[in-house]
Amino acid sequence: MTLLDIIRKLAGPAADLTAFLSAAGAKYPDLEPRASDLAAKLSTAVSADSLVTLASELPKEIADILQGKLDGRRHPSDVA
Amino acid sequence: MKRIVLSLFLLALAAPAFAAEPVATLALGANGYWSQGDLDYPPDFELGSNGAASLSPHISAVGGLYFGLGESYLRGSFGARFTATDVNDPNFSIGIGIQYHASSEPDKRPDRTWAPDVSLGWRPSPVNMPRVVLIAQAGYGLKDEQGWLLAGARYLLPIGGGR
Repeated sequence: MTLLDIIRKLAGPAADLTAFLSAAGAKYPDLEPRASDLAAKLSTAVSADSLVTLASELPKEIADILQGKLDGRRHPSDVA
Repeated sequence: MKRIVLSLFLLALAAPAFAAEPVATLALGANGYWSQGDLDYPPDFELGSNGAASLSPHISAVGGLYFGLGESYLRGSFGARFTATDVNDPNFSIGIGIQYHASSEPDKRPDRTWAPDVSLGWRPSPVNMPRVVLIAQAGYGLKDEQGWLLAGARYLLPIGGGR
């Protein structure tokens, strides 16, 4: 399985997550602006352009990791 | 791909030993867990923990172990996650990736299967509650095509730069 295969298979989960955010916004109107904002960011993050850009960054980063050159960041989504 | 994921995970275990700066995060968590097609109410709640090691700006090794309170199951996962948003934003990110899942109740939770997922993490109050992260994740198992969605909260433990 290639990275491209994984990206193709992410369409379903991305749609599920968007539907969840929409449902949460509809059920709790106070949260609707935030839910809409998150849904928009999600849509951008999983767009083809974004994923192509991401994929172009990975080979160099994998090579750096394999050479022991670590450059970590703090990502809230890492603990999901 | 599986070899790369396994290599990244093994590297993550050793990462704190030779990292130039802390990259590891450990968190306690609570989730609502929705199975595929049922978004009305969480059929189960889970308690557990997550571990992660950010190895590069976009690549992290991740894992988790959770216990289902309603149906009394244990599930675990490990894999790789690739951050698809601004890597320098510590308060919000979206990651895509793939994890290997195992479960004590194969008919209820994905078991012995790789599963792509999309994950969202948001720190709602970085100043007042810097260790609290809200998360949501959706994915599905490649073997059993069993989908899930979870949403919950994480409390980041004060180790390894997990603030």
